Amino acid sequence: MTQPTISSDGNSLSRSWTLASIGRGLLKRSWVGALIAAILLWLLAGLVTGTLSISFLLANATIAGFLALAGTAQMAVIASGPGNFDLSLPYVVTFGAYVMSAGLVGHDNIPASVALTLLVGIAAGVVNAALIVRLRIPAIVATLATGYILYSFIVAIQSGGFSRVGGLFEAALRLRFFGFSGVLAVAALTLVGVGFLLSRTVFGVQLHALGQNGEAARLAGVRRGWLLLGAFVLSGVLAAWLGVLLAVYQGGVSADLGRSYLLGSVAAVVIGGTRTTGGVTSVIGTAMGALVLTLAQSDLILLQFSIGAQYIIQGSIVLATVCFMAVRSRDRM
Amino acid sequence: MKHVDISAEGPPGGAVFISARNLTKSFGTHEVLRDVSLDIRAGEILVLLGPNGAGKSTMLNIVGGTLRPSSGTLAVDGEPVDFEQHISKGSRVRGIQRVFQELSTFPNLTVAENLELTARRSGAQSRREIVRHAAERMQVFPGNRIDVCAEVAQLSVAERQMVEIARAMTEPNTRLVILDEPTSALSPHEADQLAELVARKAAEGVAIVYVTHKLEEARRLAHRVVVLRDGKLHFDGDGRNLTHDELLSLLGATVEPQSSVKAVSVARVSSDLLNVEHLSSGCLRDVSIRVGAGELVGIAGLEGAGQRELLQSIFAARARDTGAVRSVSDIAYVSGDRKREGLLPLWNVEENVAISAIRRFSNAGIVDFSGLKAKANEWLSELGLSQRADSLIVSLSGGNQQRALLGRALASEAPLLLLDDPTRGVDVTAKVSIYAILDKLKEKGRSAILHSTEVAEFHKCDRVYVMARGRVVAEFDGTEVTEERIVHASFQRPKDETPQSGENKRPSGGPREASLTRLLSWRSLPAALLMCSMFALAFWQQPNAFSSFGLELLLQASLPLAFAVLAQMLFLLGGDIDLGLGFAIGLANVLAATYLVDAPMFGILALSAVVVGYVLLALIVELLGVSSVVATLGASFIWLGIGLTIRETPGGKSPEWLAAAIQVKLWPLPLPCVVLVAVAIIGLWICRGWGYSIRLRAMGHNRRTYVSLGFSALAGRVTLYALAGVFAVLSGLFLVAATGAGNVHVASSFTLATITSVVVGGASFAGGMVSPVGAVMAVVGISLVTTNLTFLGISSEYSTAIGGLILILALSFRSLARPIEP
Repeated sequence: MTQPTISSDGNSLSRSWTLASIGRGLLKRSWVGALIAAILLWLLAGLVTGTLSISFLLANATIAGFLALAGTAQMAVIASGPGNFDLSLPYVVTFGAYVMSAGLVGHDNIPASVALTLLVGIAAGVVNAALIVRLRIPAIVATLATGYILYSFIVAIQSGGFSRVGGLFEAALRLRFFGFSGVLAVAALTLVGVGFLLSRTVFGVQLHALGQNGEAARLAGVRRGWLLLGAFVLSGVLAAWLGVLLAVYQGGVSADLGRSYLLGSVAAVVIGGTRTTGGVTSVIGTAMGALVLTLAQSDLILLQFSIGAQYIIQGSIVLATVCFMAVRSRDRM
Repeated sequence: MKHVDISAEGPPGGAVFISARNLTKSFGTHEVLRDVSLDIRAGEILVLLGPNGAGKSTMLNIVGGTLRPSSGTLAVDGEPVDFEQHISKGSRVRGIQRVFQELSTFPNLTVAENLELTARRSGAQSRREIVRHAAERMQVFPGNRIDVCAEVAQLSVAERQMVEIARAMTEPNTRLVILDEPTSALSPHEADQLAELVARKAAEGVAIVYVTHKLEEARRLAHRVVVLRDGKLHFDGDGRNLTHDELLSLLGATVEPQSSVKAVSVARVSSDLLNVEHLSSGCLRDVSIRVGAGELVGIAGLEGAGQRELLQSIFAARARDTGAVRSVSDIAYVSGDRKREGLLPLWNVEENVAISAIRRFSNAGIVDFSGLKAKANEWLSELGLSQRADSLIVSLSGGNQQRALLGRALASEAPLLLLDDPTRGVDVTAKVSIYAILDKLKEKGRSAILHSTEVAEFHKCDRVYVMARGRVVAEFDGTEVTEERIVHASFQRPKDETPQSGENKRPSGGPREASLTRLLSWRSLPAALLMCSMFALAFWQQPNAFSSFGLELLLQASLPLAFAVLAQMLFLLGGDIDLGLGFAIGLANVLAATYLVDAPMFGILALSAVVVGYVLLALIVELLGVSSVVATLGASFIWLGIGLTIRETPGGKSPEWLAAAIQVKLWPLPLPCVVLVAVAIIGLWICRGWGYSIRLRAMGHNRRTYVSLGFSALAGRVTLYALAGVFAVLSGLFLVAATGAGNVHVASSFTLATITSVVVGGASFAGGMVSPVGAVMAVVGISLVTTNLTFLGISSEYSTAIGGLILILALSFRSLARPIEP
């Protein structure tokens, strides 16, 4: 319930309930590190190029927006309990993008295509939750299996004809207003919505309880099965929505589209300062984490680091962050 | 009443082994042990008695080296003990063995392996030797039917307890055995055997401390009886001539009924909130109780008589009619095990209270936080916790935590509360305020069931049921409730008790049925079926594949994957998972293709660095407690990055000796067959045959128990990760030989493929349970899926989907074949 605060647009939705000064302090500390890192990386870019450019920041934010959606999806699952991860996420993203651009319900009928894509995301979430709750398969294996099956769907659909999703939707996403792109606005709005869902609804609050202590939550009247269903459906829908946005914004789809989002989504959550043992979410932290990762990559490109070095540095950031957080939480105990 | 009889030094008492002086232990402000002095002598059977919560466990934990006292001293053989050392090194070094109520055997190991684990014999023992030795040790229970080669998970509770006892009793150099309610699950016959064993051991000069609730046992065994009450030494004297009634009175059964007994007779119940009729499940036997509106009903009895199970069954059936349990209302649960079953540790007090009321304060799923906050604060001020509303709940004292959790139950407005030992471990003032809350509760007309380990608390109740050994043995009305009566009833033996344990419950059909059962419970069965059916399909499609050359072609593809699977298997053996394996292998592949030809020494160094990388990961996971998923995911970025830095596009070449090595013909079987078998054997050796393998499996399954036995989990994890690194490198080398080039992406599909194979092959995510043979069969089967699809003219891309389906099928099969996964 202390978590999460939502938005970058400064609204105060969650403030009325984030009561505890201690809790707030902790919460703040959890993503303030990422914020500082983002600012430093922006300054570094300014130093390299010689100008501190707002449009550079916004261009990065646009890319980070996609990653933040994936990160938030992963975060919902991570919050539901220790050891829960969604490995099917990259496949849902890719498959969603294909479904969106395949025009299965008519190439011009964009709302129906979007609806169909989101339905795919829901279905993926339902299957994941059913495997976990009904067959008691660990989340990591269940989502792995679902991902495999989706991968084959991707292969099957790949050979069909694809058209660019054009029209008003594409125009809206690509619209720029002082460098602020339409797609960034859509991503931000989505994040605000998810933040609302996680912090203001019965589902969100109970999900946080479940992730902290499953047994205690059960005895406090929380229904585990339904909440897991909710978490995985949320993850699936967000991933499918990311697929929609990528398909439309980039104007093309490839089988590799979602691949980087598996590592990226977990990394964004970790760098955003959210513990990976469940019970905590921070949409703003994950968004910050995504921004840090994106800015770091841009800076490394500016500094003419090779692609290999970029990966090494990103990996080191992730490992250093988890180690740092582990040491800190140990000190707090 | 205090009657300390030090002079009773009966003939059996030998030299003093352990001498405790003025031991005191308090948790917070609550003193659980007060100034207890006790000598434990060699060759003496000391029976420790006391009501629940008297401090017995605390006393034993201090002697057994799992707890340090607040003050007081302990001397072993006259030498004062440094508690720091006593705890860290483990008391086992001093020859102190404990048999816990909570079993401390490893369910994933066989009986023989469990016995071997702690035997500390030097050098690796042969398997046959281990089994023979174990069978010998189990002979302390003559004529038992325990198969020492069976996994402990397959044994009944009684059999596990026998293994546990046999382990403690037959360990070499044992000086003291602490038995904590050893007969709770044993049949009378086995209990007799235990009694003989205890007497024999004592005669050999071993000191025995025997905790029991069964007075007949105490009378039969005791050389000396020690009674603890309220944390104090109440009686210490010769136990050989005590009568049953004397023991009962020592335990407080004849305490004068206190004048404060309130015979609250509520207005007679109009309707029942809850009806339990003839409920038998788990350890419960034919339990019937009812709770009326506005009633406070107590469930008394000795610890473990089924009270908790009853409450849990009632809660699970809330607001439903499940036949045996019929409740008409919502139910709230308050557990005294706050840490495990109560606290939401990341939240503050107010949030912890509010969670139960959240549904009532919501509209279309959106929470009305201001209303909820007001409600929570209302209850908090009633509980006197208003000032702490914003504090993290874990920062409160145990008593305040418990009050907050009671507040949670009250805030739910459920008409019926289940109170599971709500005053456990809280101090007196907190207890008083918890009682006050219960009074208020009744005033407001709500009902509750109270299970407590403190008999005095039942004075509050309108009615009290007393349970013994899973049954309700007595029911008292409020006016009749006295401590004496409750204690008396708790020690009763249910008249219709039938021995429930000791019998071999496994199906004992004919030998054919038995072998069928064994086959069905074989964890690798899905993998075996998969491999055989895929071979059959391949040979049916392409009969000429059934030749040495054909086999070679069929199996070639699975070779590098087989080594990768070994690496992943070692991770799962330790209860971890490696999500970076594919890129680690890719990196090894790049390093080999780039350096082994031109700069072999540097190449070898670089490949060793990959193994060192894995050791670093082990340190991060073990020392910092980082989840292996996140750690290996982070590492995968680094593997990939290094690989790309060295070689951005595929290239390089394979050293000739390596390329030649995989062309070796080993007549009559093609090389891949030989290598696959070798891989399976190596895996088997690591998991079964090696001197270290028992320990590794034990660590993977239950790290805590492993560490508490005095082993190093760090060493274990480093070993596993380092070996995994070695196999990752080998897999990379095979890939170089097969492809003749280095490419960091070459094995990117391996990460998920290896997890699939290991899991289909029979591994469990619980850790410590893997099957190398099954994993290798799964690898072969899964790579044959691709081949078969090609034969059938289907795009091989669908093999991934089939892989996913196989994974789901294998896991569903297993959860059906073995409904109770440990």
